[in-house]
Amino acid sequence: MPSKKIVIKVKPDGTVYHDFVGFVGKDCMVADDALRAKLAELGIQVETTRFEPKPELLNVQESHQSLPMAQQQQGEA
Amino acid sequence: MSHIVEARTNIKNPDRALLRQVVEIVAGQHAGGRLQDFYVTYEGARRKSALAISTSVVRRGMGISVKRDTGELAFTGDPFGCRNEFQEIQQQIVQTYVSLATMQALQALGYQVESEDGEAGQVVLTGVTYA
Repeated sequence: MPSKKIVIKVKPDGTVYHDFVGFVGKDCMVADDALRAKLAELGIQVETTRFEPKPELLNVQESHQSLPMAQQQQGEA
Repeated sequence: MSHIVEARTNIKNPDRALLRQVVEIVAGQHAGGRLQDFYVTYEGARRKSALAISTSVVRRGMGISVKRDTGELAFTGDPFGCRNEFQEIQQQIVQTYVSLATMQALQALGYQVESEDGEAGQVVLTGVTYA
């Protein structure tokens, strides 16, 4: 089974860089939410300053966004 | 591959045991570093603090507490004559707390975690899962 990896860089001022690698579709968002929830339990609030989707996630988001339109077109047919 | 996030972190209501462990680690990184239960003010008065650190440079020490009203971390002490080291210790406490908490969080989520020193003083954590 392929691995999923999160590479995290913590800078001296406490800002962080999270790179989600090897996740399929929106699994990366689920993993991101789970990590934030665990960090919150330990008193760390994470405030996003930059979010960069990789092509794989963009493809999923585009297909999800086009889904209602496709369903509507099917209904009209 | 899926996404990249850059983020600010804010420590509020930290885990007390983890915070103590962090201060112990930071104390170990400084000459004469040790945990105390007090710091000394500019006037030379001793102030009790559940958690404090002193080093051979920050001799009067620094109290580390959690503000009752906001839950934020507070660093109290007199940095006169050791401002850089005083600031460096604060930064190390924040960075080490975020790093150890992130390691714990990843492990709790089933990741195998490795830690290494990165460029420009960064700590690099890599969590891997096969689930």
